Amino acid sequence: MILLVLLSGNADKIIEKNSLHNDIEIIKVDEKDFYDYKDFLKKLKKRNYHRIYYGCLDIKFQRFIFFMHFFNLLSGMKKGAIIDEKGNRIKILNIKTILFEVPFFIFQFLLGLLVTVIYFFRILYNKWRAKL
Amino acid sequence: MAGKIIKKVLILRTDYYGALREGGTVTISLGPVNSLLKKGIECYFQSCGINYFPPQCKYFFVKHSNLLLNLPEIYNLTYTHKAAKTAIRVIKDNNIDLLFQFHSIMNYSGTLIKRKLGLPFVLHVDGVEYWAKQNWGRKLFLKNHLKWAEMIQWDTADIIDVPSVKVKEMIAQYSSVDLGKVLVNPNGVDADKFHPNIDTHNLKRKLLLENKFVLGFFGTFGHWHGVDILAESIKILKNHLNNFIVLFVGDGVMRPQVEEIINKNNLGPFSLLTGMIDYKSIPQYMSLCDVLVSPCVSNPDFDLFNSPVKLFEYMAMGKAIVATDVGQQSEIIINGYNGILCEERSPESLAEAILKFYKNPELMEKCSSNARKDAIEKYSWDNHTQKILDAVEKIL
Repeated sequence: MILLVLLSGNADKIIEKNSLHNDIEIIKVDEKDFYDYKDFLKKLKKRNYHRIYYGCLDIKFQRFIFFMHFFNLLSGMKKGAIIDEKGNRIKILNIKTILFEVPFFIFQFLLGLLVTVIYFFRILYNKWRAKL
Repeated sequence: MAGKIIKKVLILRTDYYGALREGGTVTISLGPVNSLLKKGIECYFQSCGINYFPPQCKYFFVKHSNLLLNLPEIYNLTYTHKAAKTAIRVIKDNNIDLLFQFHSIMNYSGTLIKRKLGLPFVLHVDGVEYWAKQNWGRKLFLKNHLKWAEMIQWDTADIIDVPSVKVKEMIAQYSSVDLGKVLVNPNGVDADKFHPNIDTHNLKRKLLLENKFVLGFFGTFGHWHGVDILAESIKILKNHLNNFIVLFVGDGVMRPQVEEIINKNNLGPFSLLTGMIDYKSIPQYMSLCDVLVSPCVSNPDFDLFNSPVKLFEYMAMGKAIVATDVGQQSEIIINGYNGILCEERSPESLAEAILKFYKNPELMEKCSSNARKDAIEKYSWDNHTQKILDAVEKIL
């Protein structure tokens, strides 16, 4: 059985454009649900799915791609993909997640910390100016 | 009057809406743009998402940083300066007279633009983001950044355009901003697109709705939409009505709960869930319905503060409306005149109001025509934009 995690868009269109003809279970989730990673992982492990697809409107505009790779890895799934209403797809491979996505996310996180500090002072300065 | 002074407007949307083409957040920007274009005002739109505007509106795409797309709070921070930089160039190149920004988290682009160029700055605020993140978000990161960015924008804007009195109260609660510049201006509807004279014969046949009493819900199945309460009310309605169906149009986080209620109680024959449909098709689907329902519920610690676009669309369709007695719905719907109000979170009260319409076709007729009249006279996007232009004229 295939699991389609519907993040946005129309499930029928996504299924049709990506030619998913097998037995499919669809769960609708919000991007915010990624924060409750334990609950989310439970959903992914609920049945013995042999593949997980994350469906969205348009991959070009999709956020949190790293987390989709990572959840696939944590759920023990070997294969999966991020797919959209236009038929585009990004393959999820655990080896790619370990060797590329995780180190890249660590880099993003460190960069994010730096940005946070810089913007703390930028916002503080602008707050002071706005009050003048 | 004001339209003669303001000739060119830059509309800045800085939130991450991605490829979203439908829903309230699209309507609240598309409606005013279409109305401004009708008034002969040139519109320029800058955003980070898909362009859903007519070709007369010049569009500028400014992408969020790909590098930070897994860290939402942080990419919103960096977007402030990126968006401001492009907007300043667009304003200079096109001699734009007015900046209109949709408020979004961690963003103060409007402030940077206003300081650099000095043009009038209208900030549209749908709600206090700090409050929304605290109450609706899973976790609040960088709360000082968020709160301060919001305050910077409120302090700098010449006019803060809010859709309801509740939002004005929220702003007062979270800041010391001069409330004299806060303009309460409900959302609106395009009454030319949403009207009662739509042919639905084929669609009715396709969906097997012929000769049925059709109830409709349209929306994003959010927590505050109360769509689960409507599903619960079917259990009561089936004891009183023979040939009826509830049409659920839309999708969202509450859909699994709705489906569970329907499946658990064998309500399948009385309900139809279409999922998301194109925005263009919505008037036709609304036209299928005899009664349109807005079962919104209050927030846990604040009354419903939004201005429900869907309610105005229902009204413009000239349909009988049942709405819960919460937030702005209580101000817009006059019980027995342009709709029926019912208690929130009460399937019994909701079912009772629907049955009232079913048993009284004259009341239905009266409420439908009054609702259409009110939509045109009070709640059109033309009225909405005119209020903004008038307010801008006063400060020029």
